[in-house]
Amino acid sequence: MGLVFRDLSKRYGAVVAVKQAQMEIEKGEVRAILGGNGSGKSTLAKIIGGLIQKDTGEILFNGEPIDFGSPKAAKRHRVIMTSQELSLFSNLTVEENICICDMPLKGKFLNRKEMKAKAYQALRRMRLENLMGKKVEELAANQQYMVELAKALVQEPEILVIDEITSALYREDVETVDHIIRELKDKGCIVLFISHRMVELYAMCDSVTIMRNGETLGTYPMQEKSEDELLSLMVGTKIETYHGKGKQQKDTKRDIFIRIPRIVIRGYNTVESLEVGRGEIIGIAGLQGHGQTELIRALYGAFGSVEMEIDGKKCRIHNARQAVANGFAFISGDRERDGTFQERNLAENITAVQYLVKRKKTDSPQALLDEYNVRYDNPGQPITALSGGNQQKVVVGRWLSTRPRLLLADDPTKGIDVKARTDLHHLFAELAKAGNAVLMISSDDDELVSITSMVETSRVIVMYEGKVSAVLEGEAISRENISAASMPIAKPLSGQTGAQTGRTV
Amino acid sequence: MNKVKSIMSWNAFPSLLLFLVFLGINGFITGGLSLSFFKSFTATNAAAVCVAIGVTATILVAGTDISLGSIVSLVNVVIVTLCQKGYAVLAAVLIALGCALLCGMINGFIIGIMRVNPLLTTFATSTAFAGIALWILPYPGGSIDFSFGDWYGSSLFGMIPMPIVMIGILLLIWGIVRNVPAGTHIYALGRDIKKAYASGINVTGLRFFVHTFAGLAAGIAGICISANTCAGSPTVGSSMSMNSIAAAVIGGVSLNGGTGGISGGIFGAAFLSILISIVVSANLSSVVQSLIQGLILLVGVVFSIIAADKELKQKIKHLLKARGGMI
Amino acid sequence: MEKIKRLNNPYVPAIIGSIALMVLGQTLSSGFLSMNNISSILMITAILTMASIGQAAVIISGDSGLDMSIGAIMSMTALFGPMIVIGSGGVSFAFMIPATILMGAIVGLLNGIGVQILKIVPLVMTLIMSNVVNGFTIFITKGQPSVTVSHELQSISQTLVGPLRILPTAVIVILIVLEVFFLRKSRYGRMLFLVGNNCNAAQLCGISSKIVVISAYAFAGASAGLGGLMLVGYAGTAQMNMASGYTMLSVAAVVIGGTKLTGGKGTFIGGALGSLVLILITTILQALNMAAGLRSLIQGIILIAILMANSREPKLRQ
Repeated sequence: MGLVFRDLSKRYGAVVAVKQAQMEIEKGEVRAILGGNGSGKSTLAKIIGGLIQKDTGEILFNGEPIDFGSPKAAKRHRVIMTSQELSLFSNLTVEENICICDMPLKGKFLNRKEMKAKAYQALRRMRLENLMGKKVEELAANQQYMVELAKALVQEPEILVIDEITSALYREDVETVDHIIRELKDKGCIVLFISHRMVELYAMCDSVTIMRNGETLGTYPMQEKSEDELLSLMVGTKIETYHGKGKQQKDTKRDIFIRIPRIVIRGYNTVESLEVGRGEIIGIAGLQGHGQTELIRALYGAFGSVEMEIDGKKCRIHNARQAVANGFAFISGDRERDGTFQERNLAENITAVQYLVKRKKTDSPQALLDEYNVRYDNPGQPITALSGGNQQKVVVGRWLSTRPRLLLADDPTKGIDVKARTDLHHLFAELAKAGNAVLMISSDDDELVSITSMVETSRVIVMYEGKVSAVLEGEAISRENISAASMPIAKPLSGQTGAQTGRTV
Repeated sequence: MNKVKSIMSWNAFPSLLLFLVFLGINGFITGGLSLSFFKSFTATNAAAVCVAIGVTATILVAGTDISLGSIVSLVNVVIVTLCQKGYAVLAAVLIALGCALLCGMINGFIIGIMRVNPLLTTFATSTAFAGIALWILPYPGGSIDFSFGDWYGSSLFGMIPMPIVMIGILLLIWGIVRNVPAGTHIYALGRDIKKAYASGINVTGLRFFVHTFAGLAAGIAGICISANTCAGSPTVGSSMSMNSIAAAVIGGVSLNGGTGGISGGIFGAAFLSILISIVVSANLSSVVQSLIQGLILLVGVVFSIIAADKELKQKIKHLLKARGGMI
Repeated sequence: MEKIKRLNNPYVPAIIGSIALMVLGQTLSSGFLSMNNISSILMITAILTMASIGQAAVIISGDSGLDMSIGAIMSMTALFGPMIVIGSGGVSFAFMIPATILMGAIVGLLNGIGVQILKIVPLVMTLIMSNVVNGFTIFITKGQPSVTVSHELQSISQTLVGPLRILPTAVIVILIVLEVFFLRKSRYGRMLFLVGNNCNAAQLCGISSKIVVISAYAFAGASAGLGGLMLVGYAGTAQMNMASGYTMLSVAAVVIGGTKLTGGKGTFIGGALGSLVLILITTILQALNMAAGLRSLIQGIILIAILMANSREPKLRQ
């Protein structure tokens, strides 16, 4: 009984997103779906939710086969999804958004009074009644995610798929989510919880299914496997001290070569400053949406003029062109939006900056592609023929071939398999070791711990609500400390010791 | 104070203000705003308001329709031709209205069901509909029985002028739409089509409806124009497509969809109409008039877009401050 | 051979279409394939090609780029071009060329500024501009265009060899030069494709997408300006709004030629082939003595058919 998948597959052209996935979930069970980026978990969720059509396989709920032709059909069967990208409409109010899938009627007409009452009830459960009447565009990130959840709850799901909402939530919100899931469990609802935050998975889920490369590798009761074991299964190789501590900091003095005295963090209207040393890798951590991206983009000139001193010379950057002229580079994790030129071929993609912007005679595209370990057939191929990891390598190659002094990276390894990720880490470390610096945002705390241990001088800056809440160096760089600094209010979720949060700018 | 602030930040407020101001200016120039002025003003410009209502509905779902002017021409031509052939005025009007609805449904089909880009679709259908109109009536001419004009000049219940009733029909329909879930869905769709689909909104159906409604609006506009002139012209509506869009933009409707309302379209159209009326009464040659009208559109649209775009406003403020500092 | 194969694929429908239409034309009206007829077809195709080159550049620049003012610009330069009288006829002619290019480029520049800096949707911006340009033209000519087309300007209709006259030959040369050196090999051309493909990513690479796009619109205006001059040279007289039909035809030509309306991909040569197909259709319709309205209707239907076949947006459900 409950929810069953058999032999589920989905491919996009040459790329296989989900391959022969199998799952069985009982009613009232909270199942975690754990997988690295690109493992197929989001695609699986979207197939259940009716957004994507499966190629083969079958889905059974309570013994009946289900195949939704649209999200509307899925909702009719009470299969509800929250979306990682949020399905809210910024121009509508909170109550309109919450009730939009099934607006209360009086005859044929909209019953606004009941709509408000329904929304109020949902918000009260989350202690967010004060959001009533506001337009979604006025809300903060964590509030929007909670409204997204309220929208899902109001539809009285029998199967609820939660796709990565917790990375933007504050401590109190996470506790609220915990209570809500327990209530749903008691009602017999099936909850699929997709997240990479282990602490929450252990706290809220009964069992876990591991996915890798589109396949479901196995299902285990949550408490039976340790974190290391789960991670090893996820990644495919034995993980050792993946979340180890930062290495002993040598007594090397930081050779500061870039100073930015004043960075305005957009959205929070706070001001920060930064000093970057040669050979440094600076990780930027914290809950999603707390100003990390704004900080990095500001340095690239995206939000108006920024004054800085590079190698002793004062300069001003107010757009990307000037940033590039000053030896900066920017790599984003959202390849499709910020990185790849989809219809163009590899040669054009990889030489874009060097040839067009810097006007330098390029090394042959082939040589470049080989230098960055890209797996390809020929440089005339469209870039979309490559796997995600290889596409990102092309983008990275595009930038590294310009020998930047400062590499700004916003979650550059998002959606990439572990092997490619490690390759990229090595490339960044090499760049740093050559006397340059790397500023990297990541929502994966372990990744930051790992990459900062690859060079001699490194730091992790944790941001919270637009301000730097902690600067961790050396041994202090650990997942626990990053986590604690990300949500500096109140007690930790499960008995972790408090971490040092000394601030040194 | 809060109430005043919220009225001032209402999307359609600037256009309402502009309309009232220029109404006053017009009154000043022509020496008074009499009842007969209002009657003739509404009679002449009801069509523009109807088209503005129709186009606003399409702009709200980010599916701007530029074929409405051609539909108006088509309706006018059909009425005149049928009347010349001996049909009763009422029959001619109803058949023409049916044609307008059909045109709207064709747009709705190509855009909603075949998923072709709305601007390009309506550009193509605009050519097609205008072509049909030209084919049926190659040269301006023909006439409709003046009883039609009399009916248009009369008032419902002795109080409400017919032109206002015509507009009222559209407002009634739209009022119903705003009070059923579809009304909210329209704004959601205009903001983000993918999210709308994910929320279970019937995207295809809504788009089809909106363009059919716009066709109806153009049809009613065609009736108004035909009754006002009692004559036929195959190009009578040719400038209405652009003018109505400009009216909507001036009325605070965003071309990106999801922002603004029908009232904006109405006030924008009223404002443009009064402006054109002033230009006409200034007795300039028709040559100058064309240029001025084109410029009015350009300036009106540019200003409205700047006013709505906060980033741009900041940039311009900075620019002006810098210049001011240098002087 | 491989290179030719790769190039041909998007052009094949246009080439097959042209041949089919020529056969159709000949069956419907004997004398269709006469030297005289073919050479006039080539003349008009050349003019439409100029318009479609500009349109292609704008469409490639992406972000729903479209230029609806091309017809108005052509009408404008068709009227103003011959009015430029400086010294002798030959000198005037020499001046007309850069003058009309400049006039068109200025309008195009305004379009580009409206689209990129004021962020007005291209279709709406260029439609409004077309209104303004028409109004301006009416204003300057006071509604009464009286244009004397100089002998030199009319000389573009002289026969060169076979069915080719001076104008089509010149346009073919311009076409090839622009396609190879402007679009494919120049830095600007490559930047244009990148910007059209992914404006965000191009911006992050340090490419000034604003300048690239504004230049595309200015270029479109310039080529339309020149096209207008060619039009009046061919026609021998000028009337108000004589080129208004060219706007829609240029869009259709570009789409038939294989350029994607979403931007980032396309060729000028495709636009030229598409122009040929469209002019063949138009000539056939004219030979059948159809009323103007019916011709418009058919052109509209053809565009709709092309759009439904070529440019549908993907389904919301993958």
